[in-house]
Amino acid sequence: MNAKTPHDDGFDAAQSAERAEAARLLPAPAARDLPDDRLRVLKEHLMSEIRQSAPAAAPETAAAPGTAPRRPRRRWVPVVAPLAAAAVAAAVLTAGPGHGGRPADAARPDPSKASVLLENAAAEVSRAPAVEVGHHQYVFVRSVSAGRDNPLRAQWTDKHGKVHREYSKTPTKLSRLETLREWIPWSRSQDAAQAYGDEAPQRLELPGPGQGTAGGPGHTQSAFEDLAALPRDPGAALRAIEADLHRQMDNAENTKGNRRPSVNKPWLFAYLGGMLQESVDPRTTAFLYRVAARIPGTEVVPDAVDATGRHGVAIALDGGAADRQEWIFDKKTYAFLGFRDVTREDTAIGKAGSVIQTTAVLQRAVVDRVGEDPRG
Amino acid sequence: MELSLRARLRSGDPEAFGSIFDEHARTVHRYAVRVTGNWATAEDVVSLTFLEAWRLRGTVRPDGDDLLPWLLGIATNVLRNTTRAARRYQAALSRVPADDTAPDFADEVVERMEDAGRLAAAQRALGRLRRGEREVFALCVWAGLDYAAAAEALDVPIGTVRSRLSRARRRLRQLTDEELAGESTEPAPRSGQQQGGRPLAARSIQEQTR
Repeated sequence: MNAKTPHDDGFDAAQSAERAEAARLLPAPAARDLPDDRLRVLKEHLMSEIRQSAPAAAPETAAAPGTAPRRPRRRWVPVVAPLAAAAVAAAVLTAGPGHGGRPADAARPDPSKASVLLENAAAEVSRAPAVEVGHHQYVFVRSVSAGRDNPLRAQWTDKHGKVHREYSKTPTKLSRLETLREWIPWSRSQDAAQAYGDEAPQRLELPGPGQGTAGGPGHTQSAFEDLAALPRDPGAALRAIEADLHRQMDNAENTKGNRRPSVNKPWLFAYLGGMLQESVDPRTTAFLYRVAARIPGTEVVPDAVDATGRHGVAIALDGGAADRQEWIFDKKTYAFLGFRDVTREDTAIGKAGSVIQTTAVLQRAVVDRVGEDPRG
Repeated sequence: MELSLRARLRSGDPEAFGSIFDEHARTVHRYAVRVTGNWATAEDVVSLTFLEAWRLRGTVRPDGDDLLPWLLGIATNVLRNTTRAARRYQAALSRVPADDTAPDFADEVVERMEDAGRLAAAQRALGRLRRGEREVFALCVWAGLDYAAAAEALDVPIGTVRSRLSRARRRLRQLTDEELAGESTEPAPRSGQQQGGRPLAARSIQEQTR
């Protein structure tokens, strides 16, 4: 484009003056640069990413039993989600036990019954007729979500291992509900897609094997074939998913100092929640419930509300940082309604238990192509 | 040199890609920090930009000078999407303890607070512009691209770049007048990490000129 543009001196002079005036009106804010070590970390991560996708990369290996499943991730999330998860896991490690599980709701969590509830849910759900997804088809999910700034502004651990948290003093409002439609392919070789509101679907390329994943409800977008590749035994499946998450934690970008989080339950929980939100086949849903039943430390919240105001029973896992995530189920059918993140402590946005993020799944269906919307 | 680097990038040579990262990553990061006002997000933007650049390497023209306009164009696209993503993933984002939120010296803490204040003020001003104007402004003024390079980055005619910058200037002059009329004196936020790319400080834009 440079070549096509006529550059006369008058134009250049005018341009300089215009840019200079603009710079006076709003100068570039001074801020420190990215430190060398962080730059190196980013580069190392990037180079390992692209080497995996280089043309001569090793062919996809068959999923042997016990191997970690290959999880795809959404294109715009990849860096953020693993970091967030690592952060949560790190927080769990450093905070240690005994951060005083304050009951966040009037509904007091009951740790004893979570796995029972999930097993019951699995039994109930699997009575529904199976839904087949063809290898060229897509799972369509329509959901709504709302969120607000997490009042937690910063969190760090000092040299003595003490965790410091800094909360915002200004309360923020929950955003308006936003609709999201997603098309998740059976096969990873097909693009996924998403559309906010009435926008046209935006295609998302699912990355190749070993390129990591996105965690968290509503942003997992697991290709169905990855689900299909999980071991049949729930315990083994959980270990496989966990192993995959661990492998991702080993990325340089997720390593803080030399301390790698060894357990990442909150992420595992969020990750399974994402799979549940996208699960269209009752058999898969039931299986995922059974997998989830094996996550230690889950609790029952007798009453929780999804983004659209539907009440249900919830399974919660303390996020360890500043929030607690809850999966909300219909009390009778045990259908997965949505999830929400609530605060663990009193903050500017309200008492402990205030909602930070909330979703609700409105519809799941099997469709033949991206853009196909069963509601029209 | 640049020619062969382009050719090597197009052919999928990771070493060439590494060199391009070495040369431009800092500039992309600086651009992202200024636009988002957020170091954690800016790091993500750097990674996302280069991942995209790798994916799109085949679209690089075989001839040309600097690859920076092309990279900043990709970064601009990423930034359009992270704003949305940041809103959706606010909760997840805010759980990220910045790698360096535990500064060792008091000086560094103060420096960071000042940085955050300046960034927030600049962002607040930038936020008053339309997206197209904002992008042209950030590219031409903060990232130092000339009109032709910004046109290449945004894939718009050069005249469009010029007229958007002109509108941005007009809007900023207006804003400066308003600021002078109602001087605000709130201090910068005490924050090691800001999330969601929201402006947090209410400083006068006058103060951030140093």
